[in-house]
Amino acid sequence: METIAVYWEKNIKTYGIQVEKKLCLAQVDIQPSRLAALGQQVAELGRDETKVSLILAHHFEPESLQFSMVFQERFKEQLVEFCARPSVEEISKSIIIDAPVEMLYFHGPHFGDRYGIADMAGHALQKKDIRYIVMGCSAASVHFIFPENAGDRAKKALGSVFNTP
Amino acid sequence: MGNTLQANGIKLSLEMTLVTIRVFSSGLDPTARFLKLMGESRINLPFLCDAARDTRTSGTYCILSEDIPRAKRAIAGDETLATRLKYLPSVGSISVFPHNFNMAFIGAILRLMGQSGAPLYGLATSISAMTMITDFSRLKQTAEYLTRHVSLPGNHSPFNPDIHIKSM
Repeated sequence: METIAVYWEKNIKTYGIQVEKKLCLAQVDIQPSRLAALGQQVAELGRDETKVSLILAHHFEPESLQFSMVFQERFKEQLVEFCARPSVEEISKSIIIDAPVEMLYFHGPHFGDRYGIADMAGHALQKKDIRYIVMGCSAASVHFIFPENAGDRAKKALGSVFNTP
Repeated sequence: MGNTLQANGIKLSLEMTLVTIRVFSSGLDPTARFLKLMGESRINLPFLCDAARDTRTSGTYCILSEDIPRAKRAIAGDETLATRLKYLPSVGSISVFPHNFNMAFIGAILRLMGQSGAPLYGLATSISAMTMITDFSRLKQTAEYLTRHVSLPGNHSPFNPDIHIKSM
């Protein structure tokens, strides 16, 4: 059975645009074949109750799986210790820690099934010449990681094209 | 490994195509051009990961396979962009939820993915789910492998989507 429904908004509605500051970004590049070993190390990091704010991964280069992991500043020490572990260095092709960074994120109704959300957000940022380090979208969530001091400007830029409560 | 991981559900996607763009010079903004074309063509991107480092940009996107002919027609009008895109047909996503931002859980799922032998092409956490992109032909088998180590509620919903929402 096919049901056709129309969902239309003049301005795209979000549940609010949030900015988190003073975060740490760890970008760990591994060979795809080392995924299980990286998972083991990440799981061990979690034993210290370390929480991650965001994880994105993709092939930045053909044979290199890049993980971008974002943590609150209070976990920076654990993160630096994690990246310096011989077992992590052994499986990594490169590790970059960038801090402080800022994360902007928002969610909206049925975002996972709708076209044009990423384009509208990217265009609004580009118009204000705001560059991101990483962007990720899945399900109903959109995340951007920015260098320090860009989060508020980005929120203002996106607030001009998206509706917020 | 014991059956110690707890999740509320695992969801599998429909068949998609993975599109990648890699640009190793400044002066081009392929992501913006790609996103604009997809938006104008009313094509949804259920998964997107885009990163910039120095002058290098690398983007990974998923498009439902049924939308690929329309996407290719739209991209054909931008020759510079078209030559920089690579397509990997027949991928799909496995979403495990909730992750609760818990590194022990996320790490264990990554380890299981690695052990399953299924390739990982992309990953993104949302507010609740951890979504991983792999070969469509291996989706069900990988989900079954995960469920050997992850406890799901007895009444969890089916893995496969029961409704298909299409933007027009």
